[in-house]
Amino acid sequence: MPTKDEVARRLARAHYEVETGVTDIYRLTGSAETESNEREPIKLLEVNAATIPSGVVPLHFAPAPAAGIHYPSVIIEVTPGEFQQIRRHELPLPRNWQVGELFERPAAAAE
Amino acid sequence: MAGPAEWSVGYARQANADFELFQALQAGAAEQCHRMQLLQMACEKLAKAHLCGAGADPAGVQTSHAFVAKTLPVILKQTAITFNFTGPPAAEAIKLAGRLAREIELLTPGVDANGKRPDNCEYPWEDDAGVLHSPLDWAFSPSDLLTARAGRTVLKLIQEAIKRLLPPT
Repeated sequence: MPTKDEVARRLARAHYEVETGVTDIYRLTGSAETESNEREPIKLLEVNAATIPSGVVPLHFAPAPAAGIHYPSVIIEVTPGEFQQIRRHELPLPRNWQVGELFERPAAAAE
Repeated sequence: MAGPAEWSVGYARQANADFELFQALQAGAAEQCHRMQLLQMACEKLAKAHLCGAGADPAGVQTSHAFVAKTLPVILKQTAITFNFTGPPAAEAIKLAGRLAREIELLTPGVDANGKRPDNCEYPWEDDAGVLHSPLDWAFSPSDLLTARAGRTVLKLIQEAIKRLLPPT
């Protein structure tokens, strides 16, 4: 079975491909202990100028093994302005999640 | 006390019932406002099911109708991916879903874009010129958007998104 990191990359790539308005996708992480739990969801923070500025709204999704998504996931979509607020710690993320790795937009999913 | 997973399933079951009734009405002679109300209700409950699944306070999500515009495109995007539906057709459907989600949210009487969009699918309203309008006579934009090329795909994604949340039968 692919690792959680591999599935996170796959998920981010797929999100870039189906949503041209998404400019950046970041991994969100909790503590190392929490993240090592397979039941802890993959968490993606997506910056999308086409969404509405209504804060941090986490959405939970179950695994979909047939599509290669073997872990639960949480997706949060924010505007570029909201992302700057998150960076400045003016807009808190739930459960002390931290903004982690930026997944690069794949060349095939150019804006 | 019911946990987030139970609330999520509860909302999903209601969303499923609303969506099935919406589809039944689409095939009949029901007024457009009633069909759109069912679609709005199904989408709102679908959004709330995902919010509860992520740990949102069920009491908090009950009191607002303004979730669809923000959440429905994300839900449908993830649903498309879980069905390996990608590429330009998926991108077209997700783009339409964004427009549709904003218009669906505006169908709710309590959501009016700061007074700019009093039209809704439940109650009569008065426009700036003092003319009274009834939902029965109004042409709702979501209904038009659903006739777009990707409209049918968006409806399928909504249906699949709901079904993915239902407990196995």
